[in-house]
Amino acid sequence: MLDRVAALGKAVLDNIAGAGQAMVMLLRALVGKPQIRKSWPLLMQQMYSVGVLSLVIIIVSGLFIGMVIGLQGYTILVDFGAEQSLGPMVALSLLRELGPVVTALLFAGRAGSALTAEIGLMKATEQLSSLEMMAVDPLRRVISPRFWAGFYSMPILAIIFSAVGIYGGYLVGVRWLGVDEGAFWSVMQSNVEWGQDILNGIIKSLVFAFVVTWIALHKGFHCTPTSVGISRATTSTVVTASLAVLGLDFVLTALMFG
Amino acid sequence: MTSADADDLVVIENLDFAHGYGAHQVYKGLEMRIPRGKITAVMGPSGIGKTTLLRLIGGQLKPQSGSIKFAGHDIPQLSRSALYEQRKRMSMLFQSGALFTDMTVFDNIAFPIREHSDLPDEIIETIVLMKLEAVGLRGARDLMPGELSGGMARRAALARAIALDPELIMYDEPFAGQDPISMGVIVKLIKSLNNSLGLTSVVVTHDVAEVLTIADKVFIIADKKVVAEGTPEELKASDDDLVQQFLSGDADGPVPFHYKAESFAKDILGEEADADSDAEQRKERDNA
Repeated sequence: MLDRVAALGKAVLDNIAGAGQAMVMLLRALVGKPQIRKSWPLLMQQMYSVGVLSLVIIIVSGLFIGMVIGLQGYTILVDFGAEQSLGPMVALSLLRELGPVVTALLFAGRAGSALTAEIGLMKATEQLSSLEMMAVDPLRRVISPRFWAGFYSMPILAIIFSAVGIYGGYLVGVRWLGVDEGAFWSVMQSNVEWGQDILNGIIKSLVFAFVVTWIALHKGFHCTPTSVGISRATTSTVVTASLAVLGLDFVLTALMFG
Repeated sequence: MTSADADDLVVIENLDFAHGYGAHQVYKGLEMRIPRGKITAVMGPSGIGKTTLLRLIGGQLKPQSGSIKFAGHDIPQLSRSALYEQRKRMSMLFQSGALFTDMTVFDNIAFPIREHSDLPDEIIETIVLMKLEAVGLRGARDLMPGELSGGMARRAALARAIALDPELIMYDEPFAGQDPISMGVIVKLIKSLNNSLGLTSVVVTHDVAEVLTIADKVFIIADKKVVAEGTPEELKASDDDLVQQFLSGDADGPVPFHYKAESFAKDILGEEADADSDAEQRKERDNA
């Protein structure tokens, strides 16, 4: 019994210490004199590996999810003779919810795990230590550009996801199932609001970008530098980041639309 | 600063260090003076914390108490920015080489120069080629680290370590896992770089034969402190059992072969109490 209490206490302490470590890591990586000349190329390089290389999975998933919403929405709406509302249904589901959330989940799986594994391996092969010994701060050199790359690229990916998804809904609803094209677009246009729908979606996406990238970098930077440690950290990134995204989505939705 | 301090680049005094929250004590009252311009070997059984010692000197770990002076600066007391300033004067050759895997050999060696100076590209290229020439890898400048053999990777890392002309260079197990030829090459490089660049070298190793040929001073660490120090000749002539065990590589001696454990008999036969009661039962059976 006492052992269990002790184990619980240790788990709580470890978690608090981990959160503290993550906070200190982020602060030290982001606070400080910006060096545009040195950090710009690093940021571009990371935007490419984190953002551009995630495009394929985002576009393909967006297209299919849009097509599925189009199909599902049509079969429900047509019973009520309301198939003209298919446009706003597809657009609102994507812009408010699926765009930011699914992008964040895919991003955690595709880019988050890669970030954790890369940084974990850099730690295991002493590359981070050797940076430190060369008087180059690994937090500024390695963590900071990756963080900003994730933070900037995820909202852009979410916008691309939603746009492609709406096109997928259009393909199925209008081109295949014969919903009136003019009605599809005009009802969508009159029902989607810039502030309420699009901006809120982007805000959600920024929050998810912050959290997912932060978790991925923290798990990599503080992993046990062995093969088992890196594999655990990578799994933990995907699990923790996904849960955090889904939990935060509920909170944000309640604040924005509740 | 006393005259002894002036002759010693690194002075460690009364150092206590433990990993975690004191769970695993590595050093207790460690004293060490590393002479300027010489090659100092630090030897000791594996797991004794030799790499930890280099990390302490480099300021990557903080001791619980004691001082580590590098050229008069107390490393554990320095602020972050002051520590980074001092690190520009030292460098470390990691066991794995720790080359950046996403850069060519050339860019790896140019990296510290580009980070810490605003030199034009032509001058950086000249410096990098000089460093590569010194380790015999000028022809390998465009290769990626993954394409190098273990020995070449370590030489490339050595070129990177001397890129900024440091005063102190720390070698972490430079000979580990090397074939005899690359081992010979690295021994020769350590010696020649030390002499030609006026470096101070600290070589952490357990390859006794190799390091004794080049070292000016040797420390043997065991049991959380320095147990012997002197020139290679002095140590060879030492009548200390531990020194002799270490130099001749005997399996058992003052450093025991077995990791500390309960008695073997107790471990495989179970508790002694059980053993006693078994013996009594046997006796009763025999009597019957």
